[in-house]
Amino acid sequence: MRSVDAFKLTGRPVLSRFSIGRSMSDILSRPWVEGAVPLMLAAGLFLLLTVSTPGFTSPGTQVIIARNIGEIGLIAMGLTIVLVAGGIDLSVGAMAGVANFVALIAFRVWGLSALEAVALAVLSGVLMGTVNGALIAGLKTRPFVTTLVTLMTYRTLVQFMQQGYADDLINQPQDTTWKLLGAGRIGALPMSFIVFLILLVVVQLFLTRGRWGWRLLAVGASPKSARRNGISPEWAKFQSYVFSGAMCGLAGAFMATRQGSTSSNVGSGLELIALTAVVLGGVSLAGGRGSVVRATLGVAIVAMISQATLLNNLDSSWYVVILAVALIAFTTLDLRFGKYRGTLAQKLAMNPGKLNLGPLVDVTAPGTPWTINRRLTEAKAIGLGRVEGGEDVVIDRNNNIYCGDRRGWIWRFEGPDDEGHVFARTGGMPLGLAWDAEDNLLCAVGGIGLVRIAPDGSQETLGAQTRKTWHKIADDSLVRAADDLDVAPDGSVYFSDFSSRYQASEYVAEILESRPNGRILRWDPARGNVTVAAKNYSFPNGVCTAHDGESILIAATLLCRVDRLWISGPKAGQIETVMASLPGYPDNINRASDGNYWLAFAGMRVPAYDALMRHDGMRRRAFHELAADEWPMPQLNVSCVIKFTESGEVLNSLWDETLENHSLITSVREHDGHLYIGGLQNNRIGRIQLDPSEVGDIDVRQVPGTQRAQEDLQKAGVNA
Amino acid sequence: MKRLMRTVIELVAPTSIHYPEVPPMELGMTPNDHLQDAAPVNWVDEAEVDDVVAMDGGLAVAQGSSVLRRSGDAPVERIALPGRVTALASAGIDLLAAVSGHGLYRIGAQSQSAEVWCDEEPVRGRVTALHRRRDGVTVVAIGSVDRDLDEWAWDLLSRRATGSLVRISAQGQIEQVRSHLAWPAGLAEDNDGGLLVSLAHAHRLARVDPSTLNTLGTIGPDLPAYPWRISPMTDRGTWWVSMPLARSRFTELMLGEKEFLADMMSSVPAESWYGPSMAGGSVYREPLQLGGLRVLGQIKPWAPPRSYGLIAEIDAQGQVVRSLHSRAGGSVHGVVAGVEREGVLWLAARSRPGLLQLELANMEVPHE
Repeated sequence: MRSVDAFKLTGRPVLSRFSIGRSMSDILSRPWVEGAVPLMLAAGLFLLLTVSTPGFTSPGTQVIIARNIGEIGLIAMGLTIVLVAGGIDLSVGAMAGVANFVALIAFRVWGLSALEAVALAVLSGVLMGTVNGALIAGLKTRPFVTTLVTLMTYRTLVQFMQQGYADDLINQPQDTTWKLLGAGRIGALPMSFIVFLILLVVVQLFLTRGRWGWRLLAVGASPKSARRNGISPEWAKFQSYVFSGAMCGLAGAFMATRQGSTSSNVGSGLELIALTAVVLGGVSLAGGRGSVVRATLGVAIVAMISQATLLNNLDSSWYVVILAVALIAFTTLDLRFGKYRGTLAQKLAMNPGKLNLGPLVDVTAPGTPWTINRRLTEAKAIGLGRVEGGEDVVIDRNNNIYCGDRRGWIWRFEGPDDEGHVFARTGGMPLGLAWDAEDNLLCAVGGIGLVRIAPDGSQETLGAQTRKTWHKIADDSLVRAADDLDVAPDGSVYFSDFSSRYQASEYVAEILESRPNGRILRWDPARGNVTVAAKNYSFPNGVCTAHDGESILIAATLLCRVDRLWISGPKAGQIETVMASLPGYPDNINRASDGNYWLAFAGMRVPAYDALMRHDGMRRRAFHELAADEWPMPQLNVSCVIKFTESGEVLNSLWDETLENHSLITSVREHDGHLYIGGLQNNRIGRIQLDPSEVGDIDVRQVPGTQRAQEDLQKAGVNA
Repeated sequence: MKRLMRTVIELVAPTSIHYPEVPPMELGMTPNDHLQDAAPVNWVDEAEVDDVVAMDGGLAVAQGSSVLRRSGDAPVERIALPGRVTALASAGIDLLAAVSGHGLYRIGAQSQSAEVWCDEEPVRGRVTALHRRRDGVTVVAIGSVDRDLDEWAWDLLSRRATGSLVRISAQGQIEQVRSHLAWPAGLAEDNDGGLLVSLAHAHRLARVDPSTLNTLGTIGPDLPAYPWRISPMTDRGTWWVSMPLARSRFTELMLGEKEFLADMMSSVPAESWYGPSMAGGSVYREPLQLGGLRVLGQIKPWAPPRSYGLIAEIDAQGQVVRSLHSRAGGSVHGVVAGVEREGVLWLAARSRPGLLQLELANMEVPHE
């Protein structure tokens, strides 16, 4: 069955499905948005230079830029890893310089093959990185000073090599591989760029998806907590420096193959360029934040600026000045963005919707089915003072009473006079309860999902997640707020998930927002998976399979209405109104033994809150500016229970006019001529005796549509 | 647009944006449950009471359209008036009563009937407080230019200041009118001949020159509740200020929400509006705030109150030296007047029972 869109129940125009604020919030909450600023900078710069600098888009220039990106990119990648792990490496340029000479000497003087020379260069980088790492991670020296010292050391090494081998280096053997590495291209892409791209993908995957990357990020964000979680910060840091050395070695090798320069200046100043690139890419100097893909964006920016200065015939010192200005401007911007991104996402997350609930029945007027009475006032209390918030209550075939508890427990009372004991501990927020055909207790546990509890108390989680909606930015795969459930004739379980944005414990925020964030889910016993039966539902709460088993009744709490979702027969997949503009906020629905239905109201509508529902902006401001105690709420201190027919006619209502015993009723369950009353905020389960004229022959514990239930139905004389 | 700007500024510099605040109830204002100990007085009906004043040897109470007077153990005298009595003042041995729609009446010490004393237009209705000075001059506080006493909520949420003070000579001639005040609702003589006025909807007490009626300035702090009547000075040199309505952050927020206010005030009956309330109306029609939710059978006393009971004792500087409270879920709410006589505090409340008495002797003073 396809998922039914329940948005139309809100009666709102199509455009109100979307909220710019909420979409912004969702986007800002995703990790990839950290790259947004560098990406926009790179794109903007590209456009600017395309327009302002003649020849910028010519193929020749593009190749030079790509080659630049390849070489600086490798260095920047190494530097990123070091920075992410909480260190800094200033010696990258010098290491690349050394590697350049190692490759040249190996190739030209020692006569090794091109690939051997490259390998040797990389090895020299690894060695130099090992020195850095050993000093910083092993001897605990300061990264900045240490790498500054090694920078000078490696530079001196370059000079020694240059002086020692100056004469021998003039010899330039011809070698195809060497040439291929330096000047070879595949299409328009230089060799170094391709190697860089491959490495980029691999390293990015390792960094964001692999254990190695996660450990580096953890160490960079907070070495202390990383250590407390069993990660060795020293080892992680050491690895990062070695990696940086290897990358510099590779970059040096590419420089050697491309330019073959024997100047001792090779690689000098590269540390500044790489550092600028990396910071422009949004890699935090404080550690723990950054990715190599974003660093690459920074590299692209730097490479573009470099090429543009050349094309505009500017002095090369301008290049440094522009880089410095960009660096300062960007770090300030990125710091602000990083600092306020989370706050902004939170600020924008709450986007209340407008609702017009229609005319309000005056329950204080005498002589209507709704008139306030005292039928629930004298209810016998079960588990008084022991139960804390039994949202739903069920009774098994041996007259044992079960109810939830806000501490995550399921209580079991052996008869109404029993003190009760904890039958199961769910670890979540147990809300709706129901029996399946095999006498297992099914429980909708807020924060977990659908849980099946066997008669011996053992638990099994049946449905904790569904498939993410592909077009939604926010992840809606988790079942956050399972609320009520019922079993269909085919054994599948329909349950409500009142919000795919807030946790079950945050139901108050969901009430304030009043947007169709919820959905009806279906657990399929054959496949064992959870699918969405109805989406965009506004706080779906009570779920009840109809007596004939062909449809389920759904209470949309904040819309004050009850609807019917056909699950089989010719109308399957359609939603029909049963009751609308109710004077209260409907909660759980359950079958009555005479072929009708019981419905509990968690609270009642009051005119002032109805008016507030029309003013979304004020609700948002109240949410942001006021303490939670001051938030406006529907009138949840009064509630009632009604009985209604299959066609939605209200027969009568039951109240506790004193409000002392049952002020917030979330569930009502008929059993053996009695009515059991549960309340999400109450300290008891109530029990009243029903008048024999109100009781029929149907066993409400039976799954409708099954053989025995059908027989009951026939006996009760209700047209199935 | 202004709101958007505020949000942006707040995002960048969170400390630069200020929201309206309600001062906390602390020091002398620290909440307690003393008002819950007040005993109902059985010689008046259980209905709401509008004012209570002390007079020579006894008390006078305004309840509905009658004034009830009792001296010592003498039988209660009931004086019927043509309209609702909104305020009382003792004038020597006589009584002054403000009758809604009719003006000011004088009730003689011996007589059972009342005679019109002043029925000029400004004092014919909407009188919130009366004060008779020793020189025979009477000062009348008028809450608003067009709103009756029970329509204070309309005036509060409209953020207007159309109330006035009227000075009437001993002969009953209006001498001076001072307007544009935010619902003046209480009058008393201060310790050096001046006039104390409570400006309810500005939640302040002010000092006023009795001859020109010019405001000399506010005294005391910004209050966490809306002050109403002020009792005459006690022997300790203090005054009892009744505060029938408590302020809340939600109300302050709502005052800035013009569209919502217009919608609510036009579509919802006044007794069911958001904002403070004199006494618990029908919970079936009233809005709720999250803190007021009944959890495990109880409403927490520190929940944001809809109706509240509070009378505070202030010193000459306007500082609260002690206060008596009836908090959320309590029963003595909407205390509009209180007067101390021989160690007993008599309270007029808009909750039921309307008249209560409270022994002050055994009560400890929390903050000396």
